Amino acid sequence: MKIEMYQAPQSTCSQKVRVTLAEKGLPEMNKDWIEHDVDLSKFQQLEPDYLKINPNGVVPTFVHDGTVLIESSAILEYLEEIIPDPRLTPDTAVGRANMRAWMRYIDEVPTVAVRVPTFANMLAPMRFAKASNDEFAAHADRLPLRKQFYQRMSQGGFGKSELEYAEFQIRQTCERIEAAIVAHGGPWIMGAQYTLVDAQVTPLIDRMDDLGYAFLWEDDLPEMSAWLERIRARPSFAAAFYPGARISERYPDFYRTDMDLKAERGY
Amino acid sequence: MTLELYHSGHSTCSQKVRICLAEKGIEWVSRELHFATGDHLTPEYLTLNPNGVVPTLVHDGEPVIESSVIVEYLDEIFPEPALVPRDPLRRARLRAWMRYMEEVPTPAVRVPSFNQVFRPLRYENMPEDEFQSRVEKLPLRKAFYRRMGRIDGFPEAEVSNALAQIRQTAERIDQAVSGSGGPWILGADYTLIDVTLTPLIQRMADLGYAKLWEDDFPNMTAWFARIKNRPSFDIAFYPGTNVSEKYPQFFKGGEDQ
Repeated sequence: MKIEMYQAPQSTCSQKVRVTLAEKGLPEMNKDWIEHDVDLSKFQQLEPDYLKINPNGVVPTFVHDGTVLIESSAILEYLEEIIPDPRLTPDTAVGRANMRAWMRYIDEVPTVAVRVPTFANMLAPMRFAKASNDEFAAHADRLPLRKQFYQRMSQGGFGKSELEYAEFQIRQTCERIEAAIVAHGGPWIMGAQYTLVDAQVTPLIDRMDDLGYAFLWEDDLPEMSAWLERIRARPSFAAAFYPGARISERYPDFYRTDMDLKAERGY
Repeated sequence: MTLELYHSGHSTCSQKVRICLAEKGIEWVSRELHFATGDHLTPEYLTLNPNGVVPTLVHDGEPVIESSVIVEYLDEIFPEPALVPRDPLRRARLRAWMRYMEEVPTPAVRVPSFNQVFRPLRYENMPEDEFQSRVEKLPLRKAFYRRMGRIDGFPEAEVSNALAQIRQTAERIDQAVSGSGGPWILGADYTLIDVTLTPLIQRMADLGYAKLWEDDFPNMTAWFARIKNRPSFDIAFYPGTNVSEKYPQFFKGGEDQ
């Protein structure tokens, strides 16, 4: 079995596949699976050759024995099916449906929300600070998906209301994790079993922590904070978040914490 | 065994599940919710569905939420006729398509739906502070309402984006049907992606946007004609479930909208 992945170290959607690969016993990049690095800062994900394998122009793209698969959440379910041990999905149809409903919530709410501070605080100023309005609009036009995300920001990133809404959405996610652990007794989101939803949400929380937003949970969500500690103690975490994989390490010249930015822009 | 569906006649996500139930030939009990009276935001309903949206399936007392999850659940507990491919690779392709359907056309369809029907119906004449407090109560999608002007609707850029997304969806269906050999999106077998895209395309047709595909995408147009010929279509779209029938006052312009 040969597994390859077109990915970027700091991409949260690449990270969630790496966490799952590690959980399935394939932790080591370029040994257990082969990396094809896609340099997002050079927009390699929008090159014609890449769009042939991934028409959405995003990472990751997963290649199993030469067959191409896209969409990270679909890739997680595929890994579960081709490598059934250890099991990362519940055994009953209702349990699987509950896990998948969680996965839809993660896709719709925090996955989208995390992009807002990521772009506002780092990527937009890094990539577009010197771009004219026309150049910025032309970039949005190249994107097969998510043009409207770019159209809601400027070269400097997002405004106050978008950032506050993103914080609300991450806070809601953390509250739901807290409530799920209390309700099911933990230690994982679905209860005793670590599942795909734990793997899926890990990079989003880690990104928010990396950007300086741990205040959203660490003061008053003790169960969720303890869950994150347990997540980070799993060997899959160190495998997926290898040195250089956090956005603060990848782009240190552009890294500023939320606190610095709040002092500067007033929100 | 009892299957209850909390749904709304004209909600596209409810329609996805009704098509699936019809394809499976399953008996179910209807629990219809009325958004105008806030049925979807009562504490009782939020216990079943913390997102405050329809549909919710309750199977022998167990709630299942998220329309894409419900249709996959129905396929697991009622395996015949199969609407999910049996081999993992084809299932992964189906799921990638479903993720695209959820991310792109599902939110896109809401923009013209709200601009043309739901905004003037529910919000245009509502006092601004009542509108704001309604939006505050929504567990999901507050930002969608905030981008929509209560009086003016969505800005033109947002509408043209949404229409471009529907056109992209139609183009991808067109290419998939010709690439797979048809007659369905993944090839010979009708699957959950045909089920879940149907209400989105039907809504756009109902709002007067069939021109987005009829001129340029013959394979997709033929696919939609086949979809409408399946018995599940008329069962799911029973009288009054198209917004043009339910709210005809907003369709004076018809095709000219």
